[in-house]
Amino acid sequence: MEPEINSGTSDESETQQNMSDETNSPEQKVVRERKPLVGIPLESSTRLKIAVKKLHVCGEWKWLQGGEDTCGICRMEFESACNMCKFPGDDCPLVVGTCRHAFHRHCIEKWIAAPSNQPRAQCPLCRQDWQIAD
Amino acid sequence: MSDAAARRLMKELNQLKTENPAGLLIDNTITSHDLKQWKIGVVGAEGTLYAGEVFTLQFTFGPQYPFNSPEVIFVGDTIPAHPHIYSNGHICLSILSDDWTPALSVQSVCLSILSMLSSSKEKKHPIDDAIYVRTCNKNPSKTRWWFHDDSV
Repeated sequence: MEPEINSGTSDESETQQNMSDETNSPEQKVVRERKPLVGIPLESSTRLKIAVKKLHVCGEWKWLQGGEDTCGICRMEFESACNMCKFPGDDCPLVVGTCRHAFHRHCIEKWIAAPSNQPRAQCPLCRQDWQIAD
Repeated sequence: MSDAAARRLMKELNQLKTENPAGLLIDNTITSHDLKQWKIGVVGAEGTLYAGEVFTLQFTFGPQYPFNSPEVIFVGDTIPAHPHIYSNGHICLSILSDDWTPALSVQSVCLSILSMLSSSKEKKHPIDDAIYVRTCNKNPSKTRWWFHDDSV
């Protein structure tokens, strides 16, 4: 999160300037106080008034099961879609095997479906019998 | 070449270029414009029968890569004489057919082949070389391999 906090005046350097000049130029102080405070005012223990004008919020999500960063089959990050999908997330979920190796569901399902893997498939990474963990 | 296969191959190529693994000549790797065919130089490891010798491996990828194994053969003027490598460049290596998994890669295949060369005790083609080379399919994946002698 990266809050952009602005004081009531147009910028900080100006505010400081005003404070040091306060005693010498009372007019300037008056001008400063007249400016309306835009945004959400914050509590302040100083004479400065602070208002939040704008918040720029960034988020990140991660699969909890993933562990390692990329799918061993398509080599894409778990958080991006597999090579066959356009959209990451719920449309392209992960599955974890009993061997604790994780893959994009679409990648491992395609591997399991290969004729050479019938009737039982192995984990591409450790060759243990592939079974989805509960 | 499918989009999915091309995307993975592109990732592999970039990774090879940044990692530049020992024993592989990545700088003069030739890839066809659609990435379907690669030629990679490999160098025999020091202290082995093939020390310093340079060979060329040719990879051909199908649209189902990495769910299907690539076809990998030695090409060029020098085919290493090795008990599991036929004089036409075909390689008898289980990960190239029955034991392939999509977690393997160009890099891991190259390193497996280099390690296979390193453990060789004799520069000799397989006993059935003459017959095999005369009768085999051009594509080694059509061969029903019999894997034996895991020590070499």
